[in-house]
Amino acid sequence: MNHITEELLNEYLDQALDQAAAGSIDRHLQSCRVCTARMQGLQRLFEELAALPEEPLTRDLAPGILARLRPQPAFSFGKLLLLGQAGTALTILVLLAHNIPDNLNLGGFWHNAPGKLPDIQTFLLQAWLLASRIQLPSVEFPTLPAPWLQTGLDSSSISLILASTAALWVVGNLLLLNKTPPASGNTRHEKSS
Amino acid sequence: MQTNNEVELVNQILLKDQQAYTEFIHRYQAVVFNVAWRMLGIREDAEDAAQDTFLRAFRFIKNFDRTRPIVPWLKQIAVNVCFDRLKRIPEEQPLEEDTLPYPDPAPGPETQASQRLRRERIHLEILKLPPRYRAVIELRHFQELRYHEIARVLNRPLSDIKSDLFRARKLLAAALQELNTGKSV
Ligand SMILES: [Zn+2]
Repeated sequence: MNHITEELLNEYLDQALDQAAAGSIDRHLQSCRVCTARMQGLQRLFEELAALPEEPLTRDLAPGILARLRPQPAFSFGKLLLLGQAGTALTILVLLAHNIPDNLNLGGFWHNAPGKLPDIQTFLLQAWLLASRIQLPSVEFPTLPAPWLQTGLDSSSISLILASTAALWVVGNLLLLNKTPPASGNTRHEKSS
Repeated sequence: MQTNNEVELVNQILLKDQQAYTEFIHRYQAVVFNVAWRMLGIREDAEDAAQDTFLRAFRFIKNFDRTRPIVPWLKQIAVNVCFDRLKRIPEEQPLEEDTLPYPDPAPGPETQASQRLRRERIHLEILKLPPRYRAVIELRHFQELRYHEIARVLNRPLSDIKSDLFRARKLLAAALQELNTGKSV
């Protein structure tokens, strides 16, 4: 008579066998001391494993988890903004290098239809024109040779780009200034009861 | 906030309620830590792994089926976190005796001490097993999963699970036998 295979014995103890297979193991065990001893050895192991005591946790894990869980939007947002600003500024600079000297028509700031406020595009453009006349009269923009830079943006597009960049810049710096500096060392959290 | 109900607690976490996170951790940290303790055997590592388990659980909690109990789900995540950790340790680098827990027999009444020693010995034998074996022993014996459930948790074929489990048991039983006959220690 063949002994019970290792696999069948394990599956028997794990109650993974169907009724017929389990029944035939039962019958074999009744008449085979070798397999009974093998089974008892495994059963003892199962009992020993089940008796393994719980290990007490000696510190609260919550503060550490919450510290790593807490998103840091101020940091990543600020970083993104900074990158955005730098990228936009660079793009503008490159675009303007070609366009500004050709398109700027200084001196038109107040030439609006009488009794009518300028629309926002015109206003922004003219504000830029005025500002450039006051503050940047001597700035020479270098002309870059690469053909792909010759984008042919008109001056109102340029003014829009400039205005949004300025706004982005101001808002970004405000946010960065308002940001509280990170605490040194580990972030500590009040334990909520 | 006092939530007695698991589902309610999970719902609060989905709403990013900070107190719910804390309560969730307090409720389940001991059970998660014990999975890691059994699989890793080093307190600091087990605490780290328990923390990682919660972070992973929070990341995937929106996928959690709220009709099911949360503890088995957490314990299964813990096994995978520990298993991933163990896989990062080179196979050739077995646990050193002095990095294992229980370096010295603790004083105490004779029978209590010997019983404790014996249990510590069993844990040491588990810790000597390869990571794959440790994972299946944990899932079968401490979490009482069936073969196909273990295969799903570890994402491995059923046949592998069975052969790993039976081999792990054989190794443990042999060690236990040595312990009984006093050949080892
Ligand atoms: Zn037999």
